[in-house]
Amino acid sequence: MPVFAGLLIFAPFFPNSTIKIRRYAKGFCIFHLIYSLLFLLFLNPKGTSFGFIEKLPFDIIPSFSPLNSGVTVSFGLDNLSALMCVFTSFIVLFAMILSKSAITSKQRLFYSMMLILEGLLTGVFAANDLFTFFIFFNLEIIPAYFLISMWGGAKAKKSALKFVLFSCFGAILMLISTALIYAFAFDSNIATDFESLINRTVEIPLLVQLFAVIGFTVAFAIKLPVFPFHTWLSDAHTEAPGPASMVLAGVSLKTAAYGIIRADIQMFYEMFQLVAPVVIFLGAIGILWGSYLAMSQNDIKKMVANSSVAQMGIVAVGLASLTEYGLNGAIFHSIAHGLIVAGLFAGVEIIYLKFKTRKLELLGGISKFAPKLCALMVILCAAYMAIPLTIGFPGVLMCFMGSFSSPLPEKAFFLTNLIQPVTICATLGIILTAAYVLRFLHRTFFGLLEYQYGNLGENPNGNSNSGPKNSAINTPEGNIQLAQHQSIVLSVLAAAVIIFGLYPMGILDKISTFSALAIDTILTNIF
Amino acid sequence: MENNFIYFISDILIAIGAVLSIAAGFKMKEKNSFWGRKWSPKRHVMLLSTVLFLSLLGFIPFIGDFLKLTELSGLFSGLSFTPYFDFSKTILNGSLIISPLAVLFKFLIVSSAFVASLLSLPFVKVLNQRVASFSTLFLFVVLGGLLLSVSNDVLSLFISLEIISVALCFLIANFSGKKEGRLLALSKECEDNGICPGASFGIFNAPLEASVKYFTTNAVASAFMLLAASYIYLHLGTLNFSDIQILAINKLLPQSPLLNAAEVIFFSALVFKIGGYPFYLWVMDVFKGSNYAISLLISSTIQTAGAAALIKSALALGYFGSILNFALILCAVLTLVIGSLLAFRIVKKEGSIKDFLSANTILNAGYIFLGVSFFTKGALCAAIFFLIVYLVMNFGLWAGFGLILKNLKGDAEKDTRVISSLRGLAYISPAFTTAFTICILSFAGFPLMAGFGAKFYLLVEILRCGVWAVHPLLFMAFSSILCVYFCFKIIQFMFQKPDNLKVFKKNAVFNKTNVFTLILMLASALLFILFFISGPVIKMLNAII
Repeated sequence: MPVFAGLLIFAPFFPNSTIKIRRYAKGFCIFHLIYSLLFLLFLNPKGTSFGFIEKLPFDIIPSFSPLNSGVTVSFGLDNLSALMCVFTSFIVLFAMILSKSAITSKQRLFYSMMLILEGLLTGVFAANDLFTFFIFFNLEIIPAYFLISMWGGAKAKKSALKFVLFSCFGAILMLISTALIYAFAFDSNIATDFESLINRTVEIPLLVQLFAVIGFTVAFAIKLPVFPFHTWLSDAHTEAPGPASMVLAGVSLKTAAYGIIRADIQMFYEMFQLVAPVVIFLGAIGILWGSYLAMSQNDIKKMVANSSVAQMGIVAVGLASLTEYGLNGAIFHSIAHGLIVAGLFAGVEIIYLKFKTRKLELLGGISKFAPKLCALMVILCAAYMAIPLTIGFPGVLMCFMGSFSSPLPEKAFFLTNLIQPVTICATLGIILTAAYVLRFLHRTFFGLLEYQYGNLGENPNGNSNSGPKNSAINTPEGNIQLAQHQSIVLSVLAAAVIIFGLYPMGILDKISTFSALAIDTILTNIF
Repeated sequence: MENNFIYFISDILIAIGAVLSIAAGFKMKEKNSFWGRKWSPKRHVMLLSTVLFLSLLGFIPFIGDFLKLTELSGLFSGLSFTPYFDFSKTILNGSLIISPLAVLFKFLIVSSAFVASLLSLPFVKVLNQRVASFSTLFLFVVLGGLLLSVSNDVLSLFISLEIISVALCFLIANFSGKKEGRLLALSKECEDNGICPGASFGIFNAPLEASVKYFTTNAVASAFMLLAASYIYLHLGTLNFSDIQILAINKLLPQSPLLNAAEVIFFSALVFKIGGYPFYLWVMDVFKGSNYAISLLISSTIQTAGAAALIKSALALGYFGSILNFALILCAVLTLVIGSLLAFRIVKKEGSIKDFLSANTILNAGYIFLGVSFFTKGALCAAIFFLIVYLVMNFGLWAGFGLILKNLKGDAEKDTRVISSLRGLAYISPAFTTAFTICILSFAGFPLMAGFGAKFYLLVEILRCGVWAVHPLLFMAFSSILCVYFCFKIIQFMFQKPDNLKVFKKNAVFNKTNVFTLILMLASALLFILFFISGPVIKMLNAII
């Protein structure tokens, strides 16, 4: 639906007014959020099967077998996918609201791209077979490319191309894996929707599973991103415009975590157990390396972007632990990270809009002029540091608990005996996170007011003189207060961070049955 | 013969058209008039298009049969169709076969020639008085393709390929539309970017050299084909495809390494026709040296004919089965890799558009070749489906690039026009850019477009041969990454802000309705439609193979 809504913006009868386009986009996002919520509410929270299944009435590629439906496009929702759809609509809505001040050119195209991106992301979560999942997972690259390259910073085009190349590398491996599964399904006359593949009665040969797992895992490791496939993220998320960064970091990365759960953990766990220790190992390196990269940044947006590598490393560790704690924690932390990082990107964008710089060395003392902004950012940062009673805490705790209690060391595979020492090292990432987040808070909001009004002459990329002049800002108090829409974005995100920190069962209730069943299947069959 | 007439309406019309073209050429040279109007090369090519259009109408009787095979006939139950398809009708002692597959190939060849003739219209001005012979040779190429479609033995296949090659050789040598200054510009460009293999010869006559290269390589390929044919006849005592198929089905084929070698030699010779590895160099030279219209003809009709020859031969000779088949798979994979590397290099260096299009032709030939090299029914079916999608994508690309080439002031610039000329297109015509972007994304294999559907289907059918097939596909993955890079680079050029927007905005040619924009829009729409109706099309292909 959002894809069509996005395309509708280009219809000849559509009003030209920017305000009307923005209102339409926001209105549609609200409608989509409510619509997604209804699905979530109507699903049985303890149910494990897919509901609301819809598919194309014809095959894209026929199978020539009465038992097999062929390759088609189908959608269906279970509790996990419905939850992720709601989460997507939620983040995109607030990105749209923030766009009012952040996007000043080609708004028609921008809102259209955002709606299309929302539709494609929803499609990833609502897909009910591997083909549909693949289509939406990769189509998402196109609007993301345009969002980064057309509204991004000075190096946006290069960063966007890098993002596309990394994503497409994964996509092609994933394509081969998907085709392999379909080739097997055609020959074995098995249905190819998620539920049939998860509860399959015909064993998929281990060699087929191995190739499939390698293809899928590399593709998801690039998107998540897991070390060493993370290099695209820093550039792409830094160069993207603020609202796009919110969606890309907040939701787009989670499609990879969702993919690991669906494909690797639920379908091909026999072979994923071989790869899982490597994922934990790389995830742990990602936590430490991402934190180090974030610590070494002078640009606050780059810091937030790099911190995603570390946070998603925690998710990877949780997922690959193959425990109920780990899986619940990974899903929870995916949502938590989405909310927090969207808030942080929004905050960074607001700071940039007010001060025309993102450099730590040029910022400072903002709390004196914008206490509300400071307070909200402190809440978001606290959650990022995984402080108890914020949304950041339960997920991280469960991921590491899962990793410690992983059954993988029982198997004498490559690296399995190192899982616990590696997890101990990975926990150091929390300390590093606290270090860079506190540095960010201290240098930006507290301390001396280093920002010299009227003297600032560089943009975040440091290569041109486009900063505000004396005439632009004379009274900082009046100009750096949060606008109403900015205030709404940060307040709601911060509120969500607190609410789900105090009551994590609001999310965990929806996913616990799902996780229990997925892990039970693994434990029963392979341990 | 009466019963067979309906199958040859298009052939007869094209043969008549070829004769008329020669006659009209002589008459027009004398009187300089064209049915009372002033004669011009463009009008002559319009005559060519009309002949091809009329021969396309000759396929109308088969619509009902095709719809029946797509299992969509229920949608048209109100209409009654006379069935014509006979799956085993042979004529001339089995040398020619009239099968649904033959009709499909004939349709593809005529329709591709028709669209190519339409897209050639603005580029034939330079041919002047020679346009009559151009049209005649063009129709001979199509006739060769039509004969190839119905050929049912090695010899008729060989003859039809030779008809195409001889006509094409003359076309390349004589109709370059060259100007004196252009040769120098060409050779300088080749030396500068190092892409043209002919650069090592210094300043050269590009069309003549291209023609000679084509002729010599073709001669070698023909010799290979004859050698393979003699080996096959030596072992089997027949060259008829149907007879060979019967022998294979009854498991009467002798196990001989020489027969396996014959198979590989035969297919290597056929690979030349589609510009596959290791015979791909002629494509680049010929594209550089020849007129836009001829390059387009090679990229569409000749490619279709080459693919048809490969597929028909694979259906008959693919039963031999040997370890040497891996050599063909390797060649197919290398065609893909080389095609994508060439295109990557051209786009990275902002090379000429025609060079890019030639690399594109090689690259796509690689996909068709890959499908054929596995010799299974499903993979062959996927190769035909890819061929259909390729034709649509290709016409979209040629229409887009053609409009850019057409939109130049001097001929001297035309062949040196580089990829970066696309810069700022999005600011001139968003509609044109959108349609062109769709074609390029389909070419890169992005979902919801037929290019993706065709590649996915090809992958599935290849992987049905076994998990080992993953290995060659890894090379395909490498090729696809390069493909994504240069496709997005082209898109990036289009969305870059031009230096002088005011000057660009005055240029409204991209927003006018003309044959180029119409074909581009149609191609981009078809790419979407083909993705969603690929199921019925694949069902039809499975039924006719």
